[in-house]
Amino acid sequence: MKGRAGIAMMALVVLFCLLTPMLTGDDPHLPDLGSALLPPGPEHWLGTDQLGRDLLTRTAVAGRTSLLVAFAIVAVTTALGTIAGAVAGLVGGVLDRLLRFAATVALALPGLTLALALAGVLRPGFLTVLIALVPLGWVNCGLVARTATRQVVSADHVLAVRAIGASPYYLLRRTIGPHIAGPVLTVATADLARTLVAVTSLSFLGIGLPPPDTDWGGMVSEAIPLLVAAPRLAIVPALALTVTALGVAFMADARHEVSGSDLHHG
Amino acid sequence: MTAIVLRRAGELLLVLLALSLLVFLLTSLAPGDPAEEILRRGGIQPTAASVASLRAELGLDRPLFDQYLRWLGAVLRGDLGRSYTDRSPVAAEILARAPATLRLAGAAAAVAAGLALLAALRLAFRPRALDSRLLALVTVAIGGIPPYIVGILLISGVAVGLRALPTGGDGSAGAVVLPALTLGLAGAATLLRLLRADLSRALRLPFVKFAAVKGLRRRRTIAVHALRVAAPNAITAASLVLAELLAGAVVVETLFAWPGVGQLAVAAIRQRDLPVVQAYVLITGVATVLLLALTELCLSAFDPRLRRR
Repeated sequence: MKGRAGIAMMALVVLFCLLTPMLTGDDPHLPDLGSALLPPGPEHWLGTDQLGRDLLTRTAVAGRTSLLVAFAIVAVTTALGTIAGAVAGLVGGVLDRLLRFAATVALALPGLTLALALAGVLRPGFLTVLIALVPLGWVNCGLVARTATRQVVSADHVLAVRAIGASPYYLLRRTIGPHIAGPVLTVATADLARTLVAVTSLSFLGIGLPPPDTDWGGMVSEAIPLLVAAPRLAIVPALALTVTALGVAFMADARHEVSGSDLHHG
Repeated sequence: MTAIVLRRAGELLLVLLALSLLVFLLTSLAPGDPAEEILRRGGIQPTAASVASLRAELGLDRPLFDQYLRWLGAVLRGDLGRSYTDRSPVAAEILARAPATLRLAGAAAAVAAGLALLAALRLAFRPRALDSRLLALVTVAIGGIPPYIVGILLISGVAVGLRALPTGGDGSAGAVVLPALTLGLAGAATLLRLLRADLSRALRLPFVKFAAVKGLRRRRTIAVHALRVAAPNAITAASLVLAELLAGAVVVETLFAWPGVGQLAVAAIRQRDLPVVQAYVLITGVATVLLLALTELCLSAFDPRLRRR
């Protein structure tokens, strides 16, 4: 129930972000000072911002950035974490100890603070956000992949596949992969929720993407000086982000309940 | 116990070293030459000779590892360098700002702990009641929304809409309410999730059934006995949340113009004032690491079962 509601909310947001700019046909970046701060009306459904740009179009375009950046980062951290965790779990020994030490250090360090510093030191841009969030982002996925791999590594069917001389690559891809896919997906969904918050927080603090590119966090931060005069400038992107964050959070919660019961049976 | 303390201390030292190395390397990651930066900000056109002499004075011409040791030595003596913008000592500036951040984090922690405890008990008393289900849903929601969005909605609702409370850190007594609530709600969601899991695990233990057979009221069983079993984990959870609050304070301080360390750090990042950024990351990092380590140590002193592992 919660999972379906989450998926529906995400689908709605993705459709909104993709389709709205095509439907309105407004330029999200081109300033038009003659029509600055127009109230909602038939021409601009949600009105315009301080530079005369259509709020609805801009929210949708900003949403594309937020979603794209968050998905890209989670794709990278999930791939890294899964490979590292599965290999460490399968091989064991020094590799496993190394992974656990790296995870201990990474978990002890304050993630947002380090990301903030990295994003602040490097030049603003997509790559910087990636570099800021990936080094500590793989940890949850890595640990879960490791645990799930170790659970299955001495099971009879895995021993059988090993006994007939399968290569480690085959073993990881065809035998262990399917077993760890469920837990990894659960962590990836939770990571997506966290990453979305982190990415938009960085741009809220003004150290994400350089203008005129913007995302929801950046829009909210631009709107703060006008919070009394035109609160809709902050509230519209805030609501869009809220719906997305809720969608992902519900999905993550539902996944958690499902895989929680999975692990108990296995 | 001694062996465990020694091993933990060793681990802790390694983590702190890793942290210091990361923070130190921040400067070498930054584009541009610090010496040139300092000269230009001082209003001096950098020439090859003046840059070289300042580099020698700052020790930037030495090998990187040598620089790291000198930097670490200075940090251990409490010298965190000087700000690029006004050449004032960074350590003093951060110390002057620390009370505001601690006040905010403390108030937020009180909000988080109070709300989470009340909600966890309610959820344990009547797990299937309508308000409990609603509460669980709201927890997931608040845990998922970025704190600054909650803050924006609070500002536009309470401060602008009702004109009830100040929107920023203007020094009045009511100023702490909205920032603390914003930060505390996020912490409460995390804490409640962890506390709820521990409490429901404690309620499956045999002594709960014994208490029921003995005729003890269910509420008393939960609020006194099960809560005590769940307490060690809850304390760990609370220290995790406190660490989260310290890091999250950056965003909330920026939103509410709260004159704390986080606001200083964000301003420094915007002005690319590296020594201040470095000091902020180092201090927050060390505080977080020490907080978590101390919590773990205290708990294993109280509960022998935690010492294995």
